[in-house]
Amino acid sequence: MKTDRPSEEVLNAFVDGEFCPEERLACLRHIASDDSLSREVCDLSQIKEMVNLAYEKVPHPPRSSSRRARTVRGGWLGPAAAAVVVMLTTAGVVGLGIGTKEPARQFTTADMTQPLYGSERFANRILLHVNTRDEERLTNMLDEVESLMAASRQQGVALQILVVTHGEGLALVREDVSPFPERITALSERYAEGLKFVACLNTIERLRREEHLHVRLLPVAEVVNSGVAEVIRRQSQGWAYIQV
Amino acid sequence: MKKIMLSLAALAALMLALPGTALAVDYGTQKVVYHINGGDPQQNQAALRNIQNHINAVGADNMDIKVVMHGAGLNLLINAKENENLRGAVDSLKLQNVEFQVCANTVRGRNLDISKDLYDATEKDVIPSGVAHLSYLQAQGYTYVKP
Repeated sequence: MKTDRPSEEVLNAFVDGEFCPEERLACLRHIASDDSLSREVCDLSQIKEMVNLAYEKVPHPPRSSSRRARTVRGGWLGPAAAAVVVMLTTAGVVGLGIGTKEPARQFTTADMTQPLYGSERFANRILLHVNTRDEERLTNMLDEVESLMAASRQQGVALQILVVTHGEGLALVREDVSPFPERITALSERYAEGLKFVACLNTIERLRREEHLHVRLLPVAEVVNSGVAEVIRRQSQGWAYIQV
Repeated sequence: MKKIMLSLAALAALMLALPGTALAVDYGTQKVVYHINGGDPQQNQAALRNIQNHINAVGADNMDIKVVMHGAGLNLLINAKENENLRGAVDSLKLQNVEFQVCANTVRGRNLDISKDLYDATEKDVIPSGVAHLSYLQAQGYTYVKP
C-alpha cells in the first residue's frame, strides 16, 4: 500500500471534503494505515482552518472549489476503492443484521416520547465528528444529543454517543474557549454510561508546537491519539457517522 | 500441444476482455442519505446540484435518496419559498423520488410552521431527530454524504 500513496492533491481534496463517499472511505482507510499520513492530513486540516480564519471576512469566490473537485475526482485508486467500499458495506450490513422497514411515521412533531425506532434496527452507536466551532451547529448537536440520551434512558435502550473533536472543533472541550463548558460537563456526568467527549492529541500537540498554547481540557473530556484515526476505527466497527 | 496453445490463447483473450468489461461502470442500486445542517443558500444550491449529478451518474431508477435537514439546514426549504433556483432544484429532485426530511427538534426549536414556513413540506416529512434518523438510515445500509 505504501507505494500508491495518495498525492498531495488527493489529500487536499479529502481535507476539503470534496470526495464522494466511496473515495472518502477508501482515502480514510489509507490514511488510517499510515501514521505519517495521518499526521499530514491533520496538518492539512489545520492549514485549511488557519486559511479560513484569515479569510473569514472575505466573501467566497463563486465555485472555485467545485472545479478542483472535478479534476481530482477522476478515478483515484478506482477499482481498489470500489473493493474497499464493497468490503466495508458488506461488513457493516452483515455485522448489524438489521431489518429493512422504515420507522412508522405516525409521530407528529416533538416526539422523543415515541419509541426510539426500536433497539434492534436503530444504530445504537453514534459517532459525532466535530471539526467546526460554529456555535449554531454545536448548539444544535448538543440539543440533539441531550434529547436522544434522555429518550434512550427513559426507554431503557442502550445508546452510545461519542463526540470526537479535532482541529477547530477542539474548542468545544477546551477549558479556556469552550462556548458551553457547564453544559458539556453536566451532560457527560448525567449520561456517563453512554456519552463521551474526546479530544485529538495531534491537535493539542500542534497547538503547543505552533502557538505555544498549553491546552487544558474540560475534566470530562478524554484524549485520543488521533481524532481522524478514531473516526475511521469506529466507522469500521459499524458506528454510525455524522459530521457536525 | 495445439490444444494447450489454444487454451492459452483463450485464457489470454479472457484476460484481455475482463478489464474491458470492468470499464463500463455499473453502480447497481444505491441508498444514500445527504446530511444538510448549514443554511447558506449557495452551499445548499451546490448540495442539490451534487445530488442531481449523483443521480445522473447512477440513474434515478437505481437510487433511493433521502435529504435529512436539521439546524440551519432547514433554511434550504425556508429559502426555497422565495428563491426560484432552490425551489426548482427541490421540485426536480422530488420528481426523481428524492425525499426531503426535516428534524422535529429544529421545527420546534425555531418555532416553524411546517406548511407555512417550509417549501412543499408536510407532517409526513418530519422526523423526530436529525441525528437519530441519520444513524438509523446508516444502520439500514444508506451511505452517509455530507455535501
